[in-house]
Amino acid sequence: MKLVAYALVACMIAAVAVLVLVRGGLEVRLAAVKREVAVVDEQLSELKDREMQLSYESLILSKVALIVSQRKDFRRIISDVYSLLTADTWVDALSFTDDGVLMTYKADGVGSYRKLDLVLSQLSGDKIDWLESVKINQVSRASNAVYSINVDMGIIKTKSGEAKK
Amino acid sequence: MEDNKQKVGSNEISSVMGINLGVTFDKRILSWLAAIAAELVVAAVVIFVFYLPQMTEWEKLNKEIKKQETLLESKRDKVKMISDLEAVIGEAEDTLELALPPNKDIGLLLASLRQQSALVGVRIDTYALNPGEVSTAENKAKNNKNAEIDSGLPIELTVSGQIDNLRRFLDIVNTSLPIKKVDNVQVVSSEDRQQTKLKLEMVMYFMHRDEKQVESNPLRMFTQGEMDLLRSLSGYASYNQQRDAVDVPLGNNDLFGM
Repeated sequence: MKLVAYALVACMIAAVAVLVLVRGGLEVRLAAVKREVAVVDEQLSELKDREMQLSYESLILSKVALIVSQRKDFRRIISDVYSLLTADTWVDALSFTDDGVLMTYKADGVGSYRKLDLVLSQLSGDKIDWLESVKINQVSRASNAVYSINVDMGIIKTKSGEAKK
Repeated sequence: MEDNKQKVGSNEISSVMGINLGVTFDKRILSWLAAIAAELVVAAVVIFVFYLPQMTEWEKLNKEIKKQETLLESKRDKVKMISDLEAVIGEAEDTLELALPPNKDIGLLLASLRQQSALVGVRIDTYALNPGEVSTAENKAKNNKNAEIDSGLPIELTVSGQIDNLRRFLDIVNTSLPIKKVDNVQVVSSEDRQQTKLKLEMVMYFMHRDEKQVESNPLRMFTQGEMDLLRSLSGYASYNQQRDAVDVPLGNNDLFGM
């Protein structure tokens, strides 16, 4: 009987001891983690200026990415339009509208009308992938040999509704 | 005694406090049971007084440790992000600073356009711009709580030259710093067809360095697209201020700045 009683008391003492030890262990662990946090905090406070600077840099980069994504490729359209030119033909005027390009081709010399016709036939083909429609506004003869043709070129719209310039 | 129904030995008991239990117990067993009950009571008291509060304390400590570990993890992640970003941005830092100047620097815009036009052999004929308010980032941030983080400085520019050079000019405008966006273009040929005029509507962008905006945009890693852009930007031409400053002083464009 006494043995059982002693055993029970021993168990209780052991349990209490374990409790105290585990708690002590947890407190030590917590203190260690807090120390590590303090060390990292110190590192962060040293890096505060850099963090601010890097935040500016990332903001700048986001903004630049937005601006670049909104750019229109005018250069490509101009290059494509000029690539259709043959001898004695030239682009007299070119302007961009909300939906496309308004331009005047001119031709000079012998058979100038035919030269313009050649330019137009190339426009009707599939040489230019951004072209949606071609509307001839006016064909005129400026002088004996100079013919001009005013063309409205529609540009394929992208999904966002923005003209694919 | 006959009337006494219980026949008890010296180690047996059949009644407690005059109440007949109807069963005979061995006194030793009864005392063991009493001792065990007493120990159980003591154990229960120990559990309630010591063990349970300790368990609660454990739980609190465990929660606190977990919280601190999460905090530590997030702070370490932040340190790592700063060092990773540092490695990514590195030399591109100057490029980004040049990409979006901190204020409406009219002198910088004009000087960079002049330099770029000279590079590709086109002539700037005319330009017009309406700068509006010109203030430094510092003043802006101090004076206006809702300081706008970014804005554009629109400019209308007419350049003339040969069409190939004008196309190169369009290229260089799009691949140079500070960053610009061409909004509209008009092309007109001269009478003799030797020269072409390019009328450009474009915007130069700038960004006020406002701490509030930075605070509302926590630090993050760049996306792949942004990394690619960063690499491209590093290859962009930038205006060489130092060289130009010797030739043509740009003056102070922030006339009322402190």
